[in-house]
Amino acid sequence: MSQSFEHLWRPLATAPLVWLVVTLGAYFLGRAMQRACKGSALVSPVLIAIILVATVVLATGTDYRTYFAGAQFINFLLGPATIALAIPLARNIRLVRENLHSIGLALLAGSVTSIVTGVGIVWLLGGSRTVALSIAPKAVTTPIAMAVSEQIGGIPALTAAFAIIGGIVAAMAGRQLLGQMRIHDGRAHGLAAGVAGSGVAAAQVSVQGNLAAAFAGLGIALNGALTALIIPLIIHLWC
Amino acid sequence: MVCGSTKQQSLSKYPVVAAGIGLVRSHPETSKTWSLKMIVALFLLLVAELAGELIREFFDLAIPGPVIGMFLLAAVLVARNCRQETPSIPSGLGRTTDALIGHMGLLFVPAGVGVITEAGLLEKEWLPILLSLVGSTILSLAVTGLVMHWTIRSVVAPDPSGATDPVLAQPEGKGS
Repeated sequence: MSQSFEHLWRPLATAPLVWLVVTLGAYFLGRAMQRACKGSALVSPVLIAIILVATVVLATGTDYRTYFAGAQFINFLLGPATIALAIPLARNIRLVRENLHSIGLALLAGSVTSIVTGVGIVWLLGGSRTVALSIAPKAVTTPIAMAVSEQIGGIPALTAAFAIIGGIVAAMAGRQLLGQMRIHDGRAHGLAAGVAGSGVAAAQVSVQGNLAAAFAGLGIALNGALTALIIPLIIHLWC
Repeated sequence: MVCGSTKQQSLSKYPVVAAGIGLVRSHPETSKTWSLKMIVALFLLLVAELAGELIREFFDLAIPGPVIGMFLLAAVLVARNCRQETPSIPSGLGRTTDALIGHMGLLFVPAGVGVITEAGLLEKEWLPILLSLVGSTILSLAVTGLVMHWTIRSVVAPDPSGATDPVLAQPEGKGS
């Protein structure tokens, strides 16, 4: 039985097909689990998918590079998906024009806070340079965060994991935290979610209405661009 | 820019071609038109990405190519119908990008699995990582929300019309 499985598995393990099926299957399973938990932000389909795929890769003794050689077709779409953020930006350009100075200031403050405190806390607690560089762009939407991380000498895989976990933190804490600070404006909630927690938090905040969702979308796209500009500058000044 | 209607008019000079296209287009909103629109949309996204990468290479910028491409495409879409307040997005492009953004999570699974190669680093530095992720995210949320709150209020402040705060009174989700 196991011998025949070996016979079947060996030629397939190095082919892209198996790893594409495993990755997509794990993602669907993660989504089903989130639906079963009534859409809770704590149950991130992406995090579940990563854990499931990692378990399969480790259990079958597959090299990560072998897995990635197969799954790279999915990874390739990160570029087009980043470009796709131009559409919510263009759709809501009127909101940017109307609230230009609020959005600009809040974006700049939030972005710098995220980078400086993220790197600062790691540095204060004796973390390594690699981890500090990988955590710097963690608030940005994952595809941009990974690209920035790679550019400044961080580890994109770590950054992806950090971005997802940071997003979960923002999704869980956001509404309550801002509510306690007596901030109830959907625009402030939306932008804060988009800037601090990108996609995961934006999905959560969109239940607060279209305006909150639109500002979350703007926060993601604009913070992605701003952080991509600022981080290389900060790193350049620091070192 | 060539619009769809002028293209069709000019094609009426060539009956054979028009008939050929007519065969394909026999049902205007069939899946065939959608699949073509989707491929055109993907092509546009890839062209924007390529343009972004070329600009990055040419000017030796530190910004990732796709981010430059995102701005290029947004600028083109806004400039294309600058007279309108809200630019109209071609339906195929809107639908394709909604799908890509809606399932963006799937796209970073392959890279995320890469953490298995960094298990040692995570084991050694889990505490600074965890505290940084939680602390920095909460601080960033608070700062963004606060600055937004202050600046929006200060814009509204000169209006002394009522006792209730107009911003707070505004129902969420209105006005989009």
